[in-house]
Amino acid sequence: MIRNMNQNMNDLKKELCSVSFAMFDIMLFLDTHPDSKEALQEYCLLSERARTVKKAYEEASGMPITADDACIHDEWKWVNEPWPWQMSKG
Amino acid sequence: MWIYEKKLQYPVNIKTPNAAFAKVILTQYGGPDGESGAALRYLSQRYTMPDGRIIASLTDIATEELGHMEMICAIVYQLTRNLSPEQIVAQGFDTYFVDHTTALWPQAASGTPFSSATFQSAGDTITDLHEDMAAEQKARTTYDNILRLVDDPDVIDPIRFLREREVVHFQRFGESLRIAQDNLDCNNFYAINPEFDR
Repeated sequence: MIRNMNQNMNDLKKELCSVSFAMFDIMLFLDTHPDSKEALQEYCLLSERARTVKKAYEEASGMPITADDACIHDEWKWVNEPWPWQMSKG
Repeated sequence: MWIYEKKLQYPVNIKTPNAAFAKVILTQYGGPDGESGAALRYLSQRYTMPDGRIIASLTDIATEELGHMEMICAIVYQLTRNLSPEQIVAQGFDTYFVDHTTALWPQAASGTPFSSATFQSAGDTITDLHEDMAAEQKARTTYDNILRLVDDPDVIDPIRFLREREVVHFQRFGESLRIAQDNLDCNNFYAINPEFDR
């Protein structure tokens, strides 16, 4: 059960990282190609997905990715480990 | 304004510490062609740039460089965990350790402190964009040299990711330069400097 929850959390984190990265890469492309409708459409699709996955990860893990999402919990979990450079324990 | 995201742009999970690798990789934090210099260079240049597309590129690429500083620091941090003083000496990390223990401090692999003298913000669109393209190639060379020196797959993987980003940024700055030149006199790109002449 706990294993499944961790697996789910890891999958969500992985997806969030790859979706955010894809968005960032397309953003740089759009900066020099602001008229590309195709890139804009892809960016907006990914943006929708990123919002959903971010929220799902934050709820599953209890770890806000940005401080503005700390309000989904009833305590200030922003200070909790792990920080991004810390190795995941276990 | 910037907002912190509590995650790395690309994962770093290094199982085996190695201070010798840390010492050379640290150069991408504070060395002459490192991520700190890249971020400050683009953030400094953007204010006087003449075109929203160029300003956006400089802003967003600089923001990504801040994320790369964090990845480099994560790599160095994980490579210097749980080392004994004997290992620190044997792996050549003692000259850094004596001043900074295992904290992160921006310096080149040679020990030279980080300096803004490693980059320009010249206030001339053509000059600065050429500098930015060169900067991305210099950082790519440094990553290639790091890849020649390290053999741990856990280190190689994020370094390869960072190397690839230099190539993408070079491409975007090339497009920025084309955008700038499209708005200049094609018979003499240097007739005016759009950052100063009105």
